[in-house]
Amino acid sequence: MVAAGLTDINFALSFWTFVTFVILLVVLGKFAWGPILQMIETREKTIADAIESAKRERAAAEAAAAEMRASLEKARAEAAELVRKNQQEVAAAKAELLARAKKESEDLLQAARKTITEEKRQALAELRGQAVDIAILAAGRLVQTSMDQQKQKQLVEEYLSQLPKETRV
Amino acid sequence: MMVLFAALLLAQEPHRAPPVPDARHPAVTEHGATAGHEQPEAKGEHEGGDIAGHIFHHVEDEVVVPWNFYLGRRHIDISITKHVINMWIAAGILLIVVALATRKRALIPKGGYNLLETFVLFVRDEVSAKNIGEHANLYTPYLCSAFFFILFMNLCGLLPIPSFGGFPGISTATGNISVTMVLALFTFTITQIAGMRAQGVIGYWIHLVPAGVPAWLWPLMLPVEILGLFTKPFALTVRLFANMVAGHIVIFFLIALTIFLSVYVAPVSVLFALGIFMLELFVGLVQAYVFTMLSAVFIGMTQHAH
Repeated sequence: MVAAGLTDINFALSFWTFVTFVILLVVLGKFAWGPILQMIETREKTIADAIESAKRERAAAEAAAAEMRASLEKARAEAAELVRKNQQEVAAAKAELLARAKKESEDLLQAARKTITEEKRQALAELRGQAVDIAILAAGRLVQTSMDQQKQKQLVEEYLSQLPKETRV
Repeated sequence: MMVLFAALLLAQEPHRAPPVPDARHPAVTEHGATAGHEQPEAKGEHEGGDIAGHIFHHVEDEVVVPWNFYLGRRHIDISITKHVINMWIAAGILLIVVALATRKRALIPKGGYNLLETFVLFVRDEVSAKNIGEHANLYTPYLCSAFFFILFMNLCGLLPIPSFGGFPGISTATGNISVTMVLALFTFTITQIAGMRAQGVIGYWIHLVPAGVPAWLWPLMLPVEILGLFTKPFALTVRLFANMVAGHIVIFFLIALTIFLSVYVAPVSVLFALGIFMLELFVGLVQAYVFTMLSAVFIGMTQHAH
């Protein structure tokens, strides 16, 4: 008897529960759960996008780093190649220079030798001439003959040509 | 839903006495318990009965603002009762809390909004999505509303505010079977609509009996399944109502032990009452969750022909 009232269905209370709950459903659904669920979805999308773009950017960064490493490697190889080529060129130039210098010095030597020979020959010829003149003078004084100049010179020339070959240069 | 209300309207007429227009407390004459509380000496009840009556009076409803009228020849009583007021208090607090929190919603949640959103997210992911599946989004707002409405009624009912002046005092609206029945009827109605939406109107009713049941079992299975339709909301109604009312009665009786036995048990009974009170806070949350969860399960069960 005491608890009987607890299980009675009261129409007024049920009616007001219905009205209140319908109002709550409409108001909360429109102004609370809708915006909140939308916000949650926006956030989920934002996070997914951020992760996606982070992945993309990381891949791009890794690609760029790899590219940079590759180009650095290439540049290094090129520099090494350049150095090697330079060294070769320098060595070649050095060899060439040396060869040319040697040749020039040899040419110079040859020319000098030639000049010397020529000058020696001229000097000898001159010497021979002067010797003839001196001999003539000397012979003239010695002989004191009245041979004319032409005849005396002929005599000396004859004499000189009779001289042994070795003395001639 | 409306049909059920019409049925209720018809049902209440025979056993309710014609209204006394100027009666301040029509309920008083209706229940012995209330009467016992009003006039304990006159009734000559022994002490224990009086206390029990007093306790049950606390968990029972009472009319605060009578509101009767005739619609044609039909008497309609939509008086504002104690539990209506408590329900409105809970709904008001819920609206204020949600309005304050929702205004501060942001992509990076914090503070009160974060807390609210945690619950909404829980209802969406753990309750709605896991039980309903494909069309869960359609039912998430209903489940959120049911969860928060029940939660706030359960928790507001625990506020220890006695009656004063014209205010009838705080009491748990969900501790009244009229309230829980309407809530369960909402779930029932939505479940039927969800089933017919997912399987088609005819498909839903044909698949009431699981496919693969031998033909000779149909006469047995059909009544069982139809009965099953109604036992679900009935279970929801009674579970919530019984859980909420039982905790309060236990608390009141523990306190009443000081009168039953001796004033010296007060420390023990207060300690135990406090413990039950703490438990009630938890039960209030759990029952709101259970109601929402079962609503989602019932809706989910109608989504696929089994």
